[in-house]
Parts: sequence; structure tokens; C-alpha cells
Amino acid sequence: MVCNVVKHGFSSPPAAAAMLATVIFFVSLSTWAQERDLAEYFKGKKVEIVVGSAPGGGYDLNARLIARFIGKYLPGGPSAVVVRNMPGGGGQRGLGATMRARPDGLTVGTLQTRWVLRELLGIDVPDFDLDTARFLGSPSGGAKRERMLCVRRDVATSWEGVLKLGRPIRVGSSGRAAQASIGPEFVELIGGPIKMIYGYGGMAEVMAAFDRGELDMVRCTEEVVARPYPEWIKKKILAAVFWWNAAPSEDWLRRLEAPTPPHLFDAVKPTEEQKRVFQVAVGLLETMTRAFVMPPGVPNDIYQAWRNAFEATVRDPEFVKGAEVAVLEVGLATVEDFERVIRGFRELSPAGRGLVKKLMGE
Amino acid sequence: MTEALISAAQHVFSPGPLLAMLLMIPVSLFSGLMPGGHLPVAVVILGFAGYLDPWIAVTVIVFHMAANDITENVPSILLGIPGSRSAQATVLDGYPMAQKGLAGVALGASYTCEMVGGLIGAVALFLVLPVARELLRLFGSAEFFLLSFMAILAVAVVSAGAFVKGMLTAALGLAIALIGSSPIGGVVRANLGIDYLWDGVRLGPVVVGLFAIPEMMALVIANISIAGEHLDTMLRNSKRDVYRGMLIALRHWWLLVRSSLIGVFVGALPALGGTEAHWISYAYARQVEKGARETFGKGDVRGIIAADAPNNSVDGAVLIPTVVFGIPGSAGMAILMAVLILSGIQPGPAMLERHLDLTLGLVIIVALGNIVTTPIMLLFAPYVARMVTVPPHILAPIVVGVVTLSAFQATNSIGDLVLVLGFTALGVFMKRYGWPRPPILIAVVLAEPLEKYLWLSLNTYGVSMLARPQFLILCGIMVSLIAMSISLSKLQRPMAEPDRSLTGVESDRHPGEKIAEAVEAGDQLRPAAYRLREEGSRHRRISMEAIGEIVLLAMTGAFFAYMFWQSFSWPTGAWLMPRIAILFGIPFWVARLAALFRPTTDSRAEIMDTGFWLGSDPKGEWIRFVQISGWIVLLYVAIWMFGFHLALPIGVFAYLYTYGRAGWFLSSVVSLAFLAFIVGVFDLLLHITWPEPVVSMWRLSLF
Repeated sequence: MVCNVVKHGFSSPPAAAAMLATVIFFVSLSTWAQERDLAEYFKGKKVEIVVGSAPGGGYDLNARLIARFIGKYLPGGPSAVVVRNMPGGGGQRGLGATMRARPDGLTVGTLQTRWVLRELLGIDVPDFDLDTARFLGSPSGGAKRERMLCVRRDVATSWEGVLKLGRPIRVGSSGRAAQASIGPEFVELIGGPIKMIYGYGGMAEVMAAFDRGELDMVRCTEEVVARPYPEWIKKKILAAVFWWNAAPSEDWLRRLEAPTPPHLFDAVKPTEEQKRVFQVAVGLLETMTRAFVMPPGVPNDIYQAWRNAFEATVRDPEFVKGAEVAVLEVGLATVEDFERVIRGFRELSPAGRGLVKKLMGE
Repeated sequence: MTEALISAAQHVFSPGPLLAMLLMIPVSLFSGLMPGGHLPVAVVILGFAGYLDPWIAVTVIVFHMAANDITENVPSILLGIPGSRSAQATVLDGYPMAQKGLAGVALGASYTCEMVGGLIGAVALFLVLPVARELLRLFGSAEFFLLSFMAILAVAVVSAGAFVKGMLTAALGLAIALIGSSPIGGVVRANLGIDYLWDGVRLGPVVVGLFAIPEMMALVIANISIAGEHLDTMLRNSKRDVYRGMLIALRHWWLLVRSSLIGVFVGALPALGGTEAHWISYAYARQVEKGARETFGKGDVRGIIAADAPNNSVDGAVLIPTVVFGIPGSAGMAILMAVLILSGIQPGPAMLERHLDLTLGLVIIVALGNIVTTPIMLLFAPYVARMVTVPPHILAPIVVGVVTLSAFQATNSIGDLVLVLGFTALGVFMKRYGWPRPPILIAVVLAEPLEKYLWLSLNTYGVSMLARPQFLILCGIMVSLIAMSISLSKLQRPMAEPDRSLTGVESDRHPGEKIAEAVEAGDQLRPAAYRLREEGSRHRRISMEAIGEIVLLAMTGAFFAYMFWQSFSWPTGAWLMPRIAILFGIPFWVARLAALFRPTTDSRAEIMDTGFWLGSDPKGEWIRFVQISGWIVLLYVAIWMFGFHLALPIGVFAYLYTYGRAGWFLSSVVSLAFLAFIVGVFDLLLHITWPEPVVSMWRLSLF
């Protein structure tokens, strides 16, 4: 019949209209059938989000927030979305469980950026393959976050002042390659006057150590300072020294009563290759932070449903509100964003990759 | 402040939080009975946190933490199983008291201390809160390191009678605790290529393997209940004993208050977590209390007071770093912080300004957690104490089943069970050959803060830490305490016999003559470790029994060598502490090895740990040893092959029915209770991911 139509053309407008309507009907029917199937598929089922860390941390909080809202965006509405904590192996155990799970779309897991980096650097991560894992995105990787460091005013009042000190200034961090510490780590790597001190138990411990004068420099963006330590602003103890990733807002600088600090590159003058390496490293850390992933082999329609639901959840005003309360950064990073930053790494020269490896402490 | 306090009281005493507390009482008291049991319940609460009214969510979690601690002393005193968070030092005197038929006295004293300690903690929290931040800013990494160091000095105390072995096991414990991912150098240390060990060795499986299972094995091998021959005395006096324990605790009011204040101080320091408080308090009391050097570790009720008073005073204090700085000192506090965050409350310095009423509400809830639950437990204490009268073949399979489930909570993987078996072997060896086990526990608990704050103080202050007034003051306190304890010990030396009025033996001044008799009888039941030492005075150490110790030394030495060799590939921050631990341990290792080849002279020494009761029926003991160890290994293999749901209920049933002779009915009831517990708590509430049973994997690969 189709051949007939092609050969002879439509004999009359009503016939063409009838044919068009038929095509639209079947296309709609098939789309509806697919939707109905997915709705049937998820309805009444229990979905799991596997978290590779203990309850109470940032990954766990993110997963719990996603679990609270994603149910309403998955077709059919699963009966429950539960969070399973599987700490162990620095997150590898949870990742392995996710990757080995049945590809039925009922298991999603969190992914720590270190495993992506390891894969990219050619260090094998059991069960995880960057090219076959089905990424969903990150609820916070798309936020263009301000990253700025401040020094205590009684130590120095600007980056130039820091340079004149004649001694390295102390910056604390929980471990290597954290988003907030990649800037000072880079400065230390290329010979700047910074001494990274690792081993603190997290951002709150770093802030408390700065508060009691144990550290000289601290991350000083609005969300980490203004709420927990408002008197730092009142007493004007912070002087901004440099920023990276996104410039601090004028309003925040005004509150700090600090002049606009230089960009990190203007402060420490790295080579072009070093700049490129830093941008790639920052891109990976910022974009792929707290990513969610599904096992390889999840059918396309189910995977697409998950991606849609994930993106809708992250854009949900209630989710955003919950994340703000929990001081979790919000900003959707899509799978395309992931692909972009991974491509960026793969385009680096071997020397550049070596520098990333050094920077990340791998 | 007054307005905020009134507002807090109005919130806490409103129907919602009150009902929540009422519902939590049985849950929290029950979870405290399982080592590490507070965490699974806290995780369940976390799951609901986002849906509850903030006041109810916070009430539930804080009340649970306070109430849970009340029962953590039960396994510690009655079964010799230290808690994973609290009631660790309690085991040193609590269990010997239970073995002497004084479980009621021990429980009565313990609950009294917990209640008074909890109230002191709550009051201290209330008084300190307004100035907490300014006070705590005085202490930095250098002082935290010093306090951790002070706590680890407790190793020397609990090594009494076996100093060389104690120091060596402490070094081994430190080295074991440093396995896994290093927070400083970003490397994985000495994990033997095993992925499970990436995150290191968890406390739960260590406690279960080192203490819980060997204690149960000891009972089965000796074929006696915990109370042994003091059974009748104990049953007759259990109610009166509880009351007497309360009175004894109150009579030592200064020890009680001082120990509680130690808990408040240590617990309030950011990131220390408060566990150190029990050991510091216990070690301090042993050094300064009259006659304590002779009686602590053998069932001295003052040991329980010193260990348990900080138990609950810490509860209020640990809220300070969590609430005021947003720094959780433990996994439990991390969950509390998450509950606060999900309830829309951001912990941190501004909390006192923005949520003062809620912060004060926490104080009230901590106080209520102690006031409400302690009388309940005191009421039940005489009946709970009867646990020590249960025949070993009935008690052992049930306890082994329960502790296996709680050890599995560490990471929910088969690795937890392998670790339990490994530590069980170590625990049995140590128990058999008179190596004190508490030093390992202390080292595992303290390794993390010790390493962390040593590294941070070296990097942030360097040598200049010695010029910090705070550091010097703490150093001064530490040195004077040591000097004071030395001078006190010299003064007390002429007193050859311990002052029994200050020990669990106190009853011999009172009509309770039978208890004193029981204690005397208990003293005659010498664990094998002691017997070995006495034999050693007559023979050279190279004997069949000494071969076991040589194996233990060989394994320790091999592990030291492996870790030391591996450490050359680690960055400075990662190798520093492991090498310190190993270099500290090597002289003691050599000394111990040398001691095996020469006649010993220290035959009268006793260690602060329990051994096996051997010698009355060697053949029967061997048979029972094979029975119980074979059953445990088979049970674990069966869990690995067939999964928990099948293996644990059937395994428990099989033991109860065959060795326990419990009959069909009782065996079935217990077995079904295990199944119901696994399904109800772990499947439905906690949504545990069980390891895939090997059999089901075979099935999948075949079809």
C-alpha cells in the first residue's frame, strides 16, 4: 500500500488527510503504548539508590533528597525509592554493586569523581567502565560555583601581601583533589607560597581550625561563611586573595569589604599548559561531582525515562529548596556535560595528563 | 536564654515529641544490647527525617542516642562484650563481677552512674553552651593530639601484670587500625590487596571477634554459666544486689562526679568523639583510687563507676562540637547532623543565635533520655542479670547469632564475617596465652585521632606547639597526674591486701557474706593464662603451649614486617604513624620472644583480662572446643554459601537442639525469632543489601 501511494500519489485531499491521520494515530499509539509500558513497568516497584558511603555525608544527603522527589517523575510512580548505604573501598563497593546490578532500571548509584579520574588516568577500577556505564548526570555539577580563598587579615590583606610574607601560608583540606581545594593545590604544585595541610575531617573542621587561628587561609564563598560564621564578616577578618571557576559576586565582596581579587591565573602566572591542565581538572571535579550512574545495559527507553526524571527532579523547586536548606549546591550537569569534560581530558597531551595525575594525587 | 529555655521545654513536652520518646524507649533500649546497635536505628530515623516535624525528628534521634547508651553496658557486664561506642572500659570490672555472681551489684552501680553522669552532662552542656565556642577555640590540633596520647596511655594501665604483652598488642592494634585508605597521603595502606580493607578495619567486627565470640567459646569449653557456681547466691540476691550497687555508686560520689566531668571535657572537644573519655577516666581512677591497682580489673565496682559515669555525660558533651561547630565526632553524630540538615537546621556557630531554643531542647532531651530510661532498666536489672545464669550451650548460639548480625552491620559484606573470624582466632589465642585484649581495643579506637592530630599539629604548629600555653598546661596536668599516681602507689604499697570495702567485695562488711564467699571461690577459678604463668616458674617456656604463643608472635612480626616494608612506598603523612607504631612495638616483640626462651619470674602477676577455665576435664574441654569452634566456622561458611536467612536460623536451631538439648520447641522458637528479626529489622526496616549467596550464584551460572 505504501508503494502504491509513492507510485501514484494521493488521489485526493481527503485520502491524504486520512492517511496522515492514520500515521499520526499509529505513531501516537506506539508512543502511548511505550509510555504505558514504562508506567506499568515502574508501578509498584521498589527502586534503589546505592550510596557508596556511610549515612550522613554529602553523597548520602544528595541521594536522600533525590530519593524523596524522583518518584513522582518516574513513569507510573514506583512504590518506594530507597537509599542503601554500602560504604567500603572508598566508595568502590557501592559502585561495584551498582555496576553489577541487573540492568532493569531499578538500581541507580552514586559515583565519586575519583573513580572517573582513575579510569581516565588508566588505573583500572573493578566493575566500572567509563564507556559503558550509563550516566544520569549530577544534581550539583552544573552550578557555576564561586571558588574564592581568603586570608586572615592579620596575616596579609592581598595576594601580593602573601607573596611578601616570605613563608608559605597554611591551607587545610580533608584530602586531595577536593573541589574547594584544587585551587590552592594547583598553586602549591607550581611552586606558589602555599602549604596544603591534609587530614581534616571535612569543611566544618577546616573552618573551625581557621576560626581558632590554626590555618591562615580558607574558602570564603558566601554559602560557607555567611551562615555559619557571620561574625567573620562583622569583624572584617577576611581578605580575598584569588578566585577561580566563577567570579565572586559584587555584593559578596562588598559585604566582605574586600577589593575584587585577581583570578588565580593572574595571581600565580602559570604556563599555558598548566592553565589547560587546571581547567580540565576543575572541569572534571566541578561537573562530575556527586554523579549518579546506572549499570551498563539498561534498555534505552528505561534509561531515557530515568534521565528525564533525574533532570526534572533537579529542576523541581521543592528539591532546590531542600538542597538549599542542606547547603547542597544545586545545578544540573547533564550527560552531555560529562561527555564534554571527559573529552577535554582525553585531548590533553601525555605530559598534561601526568600533571593532572600529580595534581589529583593519584 | 530563659525565653529560649521555656520555648524549648514547651516544644519538647508537647504531644508529638513526648509520643516519639515513648515509642523510642523499647527500640533504643533493645538496640543498645547489640554491639553497634545504635547506628542501624539511627539510619532508619534518618530515612524519615525529611518527612517529620523538625522537633520530632531531633527528639527521636537525640533521645535514641541517650537511651541507647543505657543498655550498652548490659553485654559489657554480663557477657564480657565491650560496646562499640561506649561501655568499653566497663568490661574490665563488670564482667569479673558477673562471673563472681555480682551482676546485680554491677548493673545497679552502672545504671546509677549512667543516670547521674547523664544529668551532669546535660547540666554541663547547659552551662557551657553560651561560652562553648570561645572555650573550645583555645584548643587546637596540638591539644587534641595530647589528649589522644593521654587516652592511649591507658594501655599501660590495662597492661598491668603483662606489660610487655600489653604494649606489643597496643602496637599491633595501632598497626591494624592504620590499614586502609590514609586520609593524609591519599594512599591505601597495607590492605594485602583486599578491596574490603580499603576503608580499614571497623570496630564492630573487632569487638565481636576479639571479645564476644571468645567469651562464648570460653563458657562452652568450661561448660559453666557465667555466674558459675555462684548461681544460687546470685538468684537469691539479685534484687538486693541491684539496690546495693546503687548505694555503692552514690557512696563514691566524688569518683562519680569527677569521672562524669572527664566525660564532659573530652566529649566536648571537636572530633574526638568521646570514646577516649571512658579510658582516660578509668586509667586515672586506677592510678589515684585507694588500692585500685590491686583490685581494678578483678571486679572492683569503682572500675565500673569510673568507666560508666563518662558514658552518658559524654552524650550531652558530644553535642557541642556537632551543634556549635558542625563537626560530628562519630558516625552517630554524623547522622544526627544529617537529621538536623534534612530538617532545615544548619548546625554551626550560628546555631546558638538562630536556633537557641532547639539547642537547649537537645539538653532537655538528653536529660530526659537518662531520667526516663534508667529507672526502667533498674527495674528490670534483677531479671536482666539472670542472663548470667543461662546454660552456656543455650546462651552461646544465641549470642553468637546476634553479634554476627551486628558485626555484619559494619559494611554489610562477607568481609565483615571474615574479619570476625580472623579476630576470633586472635582473641582466642590472646585469651589462651594471657595476652590482654583491651590494649588492642584502645589502640583501634584511638589510632585515627592520634594519627590525624599528630600530623596536623606537626604541620600547623611544628615545634612551636611546645610554646602554646594551652599545650603546656595540659602537659603539666598530665605530668602531675602521672607523678601523683606514682607517689600514691608508693604510699599505698604497704597495703598488701586490697581494701575490700572499696571493691565489689564490699559486701563482706555487710550481711552479704555469701557474696564474699562467692568472690573468694571465684578467685580460685584461675583462667588458663594465669596457670601458664605459674607453670612457667617451674619450667622453661618452650613447651607445647608456648608454641601457640610463638605462632602469635610470628604472625605479629610478619604483619609488622609487611607494613614496614610497604610504608616505603607511601608519602610522609601516610607512613609516619604506622612506623611509629611498629618501631614502638618491636622492642616489646623481641622482649616477649626472649621471654619464651628463659624461665619466668613473674609467676604471681595477673592480667586485666579473662582467660579460659581449663584443667578440670581436659578431654571434655577439647571436645567442646572442637564443637563450638567447628559450629562457628560451619555457621559462617553456611552464611557465605546459603545466606543469612537460611543459615543463621538453621545453624542456631542445630546447635540448640543437638548440643544445647533445648528440645524442638525452644530451638524452633529461637530459630524463628532470628528469622523474624532478620526479615523484620534488616529487610523491611533497614533495606540491607545482603551478599549474594554462593549457591545462588552457582545456580545463576548453571542456568
